[in-house]
Amino acid sequence: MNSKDQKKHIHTLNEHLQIHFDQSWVGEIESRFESNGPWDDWTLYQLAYESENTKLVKDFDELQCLNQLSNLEPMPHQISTAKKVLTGMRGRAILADEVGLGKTIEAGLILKEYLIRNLVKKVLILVPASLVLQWVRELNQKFNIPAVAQKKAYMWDQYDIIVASVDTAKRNPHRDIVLDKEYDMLIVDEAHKLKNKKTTNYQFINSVKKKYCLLLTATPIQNDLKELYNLITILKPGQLGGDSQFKTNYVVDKRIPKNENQLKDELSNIMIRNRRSDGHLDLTKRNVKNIPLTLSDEEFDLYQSVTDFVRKRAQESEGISHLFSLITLQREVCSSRDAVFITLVNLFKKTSEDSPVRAMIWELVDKIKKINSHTKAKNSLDLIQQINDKVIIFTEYRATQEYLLKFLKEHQIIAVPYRGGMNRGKKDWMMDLFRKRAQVMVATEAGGEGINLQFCNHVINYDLPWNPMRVEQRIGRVHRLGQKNDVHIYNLSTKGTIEEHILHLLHEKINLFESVIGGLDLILERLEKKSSIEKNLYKIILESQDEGEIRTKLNRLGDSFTKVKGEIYNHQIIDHPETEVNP
Amino acid sequence: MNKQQVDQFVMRYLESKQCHIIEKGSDHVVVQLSPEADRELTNRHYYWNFVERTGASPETMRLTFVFDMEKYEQAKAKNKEKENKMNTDTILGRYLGITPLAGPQRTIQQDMTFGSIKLEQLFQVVQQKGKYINLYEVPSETSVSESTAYMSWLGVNFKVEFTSDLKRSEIHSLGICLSTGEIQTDFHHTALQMKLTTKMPPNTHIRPTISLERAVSELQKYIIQKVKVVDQKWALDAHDRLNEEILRIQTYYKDLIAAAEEEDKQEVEGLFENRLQEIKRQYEPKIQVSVINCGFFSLLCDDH
Repeated sequence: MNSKDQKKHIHTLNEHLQIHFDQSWVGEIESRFESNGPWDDWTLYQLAYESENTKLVKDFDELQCLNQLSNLEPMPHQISTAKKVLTGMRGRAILADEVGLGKTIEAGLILKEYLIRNLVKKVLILVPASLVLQWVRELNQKFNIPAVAQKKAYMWDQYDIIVASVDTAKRNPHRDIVLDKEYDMLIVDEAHKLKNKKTTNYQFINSVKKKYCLLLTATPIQNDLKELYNLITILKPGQLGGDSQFKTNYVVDKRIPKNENQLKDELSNIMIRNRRSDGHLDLTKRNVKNIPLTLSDEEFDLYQSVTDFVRKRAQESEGISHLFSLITLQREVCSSRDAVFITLVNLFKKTSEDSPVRAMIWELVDKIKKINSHTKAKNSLDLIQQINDKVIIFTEYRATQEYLLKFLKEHQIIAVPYRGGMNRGKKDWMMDLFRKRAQVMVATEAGGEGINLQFCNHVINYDLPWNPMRVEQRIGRVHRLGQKNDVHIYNLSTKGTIEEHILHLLHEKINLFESVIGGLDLILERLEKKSSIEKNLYKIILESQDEGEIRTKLNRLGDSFTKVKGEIYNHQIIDHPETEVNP
Repeated sequence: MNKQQVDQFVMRYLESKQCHIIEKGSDHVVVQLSPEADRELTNRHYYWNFVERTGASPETMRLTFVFDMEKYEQAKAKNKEKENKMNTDTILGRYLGITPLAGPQRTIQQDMTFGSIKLEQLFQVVQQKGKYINLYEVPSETSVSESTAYMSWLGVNFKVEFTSDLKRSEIHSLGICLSTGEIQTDFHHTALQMKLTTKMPPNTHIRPTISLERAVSELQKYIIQKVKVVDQKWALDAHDRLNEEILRIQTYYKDLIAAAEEEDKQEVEGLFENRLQEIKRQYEPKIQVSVINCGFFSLLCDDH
């Protein structure tokens, strides 16, 4: 027998297996015996036994966490993902579900399971800075996991489960502390940002010591198979062979894979991608209604004058880039006179006092003053009254938002605002008010986290963003998991203005509204190789001589969207076309 | 643990800590904690530090533990409605249009469901505070004659964990007689059937002949025997996985190290070593035996 000071007693069972006995209790009970106490309570002794017994993990495979989550009801595909990662993938996986299928929930389930099994204690969760608090909140509230946001260097030691931004963690003094630790689990959100192995982010994350590891990304493969290879190297180096082996075995061109089936097989050992089309997500239908509006004479006159102003300024100016802001005027005048007014005033302040432009601006402001009626607002009011249910109105402009809130109030409709600049508490409060009291929410922001408005199924696009991704984000706020009714989308567009063109492009050519376009982000990223789609649109509007030319160029842009979409669907090793592509 | 089990578990704890139960419903309990329970559950270290240093009389917290939040909230809302109806008819309400707040004192609500942070904390507390005991069997009335012969037993609740990248665990409750060396299984349940007390009954003679060290060693031998006959497939499988993973990274890094520039070589080798260690840490099968709790049980000779 070893001396009682030795805390661990190790006995070898066979060549592979050792049995470790914790001996720390022996000294303790002996000393209590010698000094005749103190002894613990018999009831607490029984409770201790029961608590261990109830948490006993009787099975290697069965998920334990499901009956310990009272604040969450995971969906079937999330549960099967968690099981597969735990047993089939040995706790190292790329979770690559399409946006909106709950990757965070899956990661939470897996983490919770390992915590319950006591296989994981120290956890590092690396996310973009803007998502740190959201992660902490979700883990705390939905999973009862005591995660904290990393704020000070001492926290690395003091807390077991830490959520930190990659950009902070990779810098000293944090870097040295983190790389010195042995983590039981590493989770990286938005992992597609790690595609380039030369970046400091990549090298840092690749050096973290971990047992289990989850990489979360909605877009596992973007432009280059090499990027996927780099991602896999963090998880399981060598899974697809060495560098050159991978190239000879799997790559034709950087975008086109070889031996697709074999590659798919290999990938299925390391990556899970649930898609909407798999039927995981029974989303309700979308009904789209475009509402063309005829502006009043005064309003149309203003639009024309602003357009002329923009054209004139464009011809006079040399560089095109600063002219982009002029297009904004045109967009704003379609939204509301308030929006255009504010921009004009700012423009006025910026022009030098002796410039003739000042007079031109004043002329426009005079025209604004003459407008009494507001066609769009009036039509929206009719629409809202007709719908007679909760409605969310999206606009691009703060001034339009303010105007609408005032306008609706005058007509006895309770409306609340929602803005990106609001702090978390205020956002939650506004959502709560919308759910319980207000009929309408007027929002300028659709992106960002945590706006879940499944209780509302009417969306009015008062004006449209020119970036398709942002349009999809808007609709996604209500058309998501938990929406029980069909979603109605109303697009307001003023006849004879640029709005008409944009709506034509987004609706007819890109077919954005009727269904979710799988891999929209991928398509856009590839389409935007040279410059962003918004910039392209600005350019087309500015450079075209007349309406006909605008239309032709927009159609061409729509065609190239369709082409890229086709390319991506045909050469996808992960995604398959969910709808046939027909130009 | 279902709701009833959690309910009972919490109530037994509160009772054993002499907490004052203010209200008990089917979905909740309102309790004024005893000082001891307050220290263990409320995380108010600074406050208790202050009480100790100043000698101020402590004010413990009043908490509401909720075993089913949804049902509890529903019941609460219903009560409120009823109260409002009643309150509209108070004298003040009738003449002045105000109703005084007569609701119960607001307390902090805590979710006490299986998996909740508070219950987990309670688990930790009882595991720390219910670790070592020393109990005597109470002799029956009739046998309180002259001297009673007792036999001392060491009871230990072992937790045996079969760990690789996966895990499974078992509890082995063993008791060893310190006179004869006899080992009994399922000892915890045997003890639960008995009437036990912390006070040593008069005229007790205990003559342990086996040392603690020897007893511990015997128990460990017993567990090793038990574990040996358990199916070893899990460990062999884990070993296969380990070897497979090691082979994979060896192949990968061999190329990489060979291709590396002289100055980078060390770094790449370092990475490789880290990877090797983490894989071993993850997959290497082992059995870990820890002790949940243990104690001396002095039992009457006749029974055994």
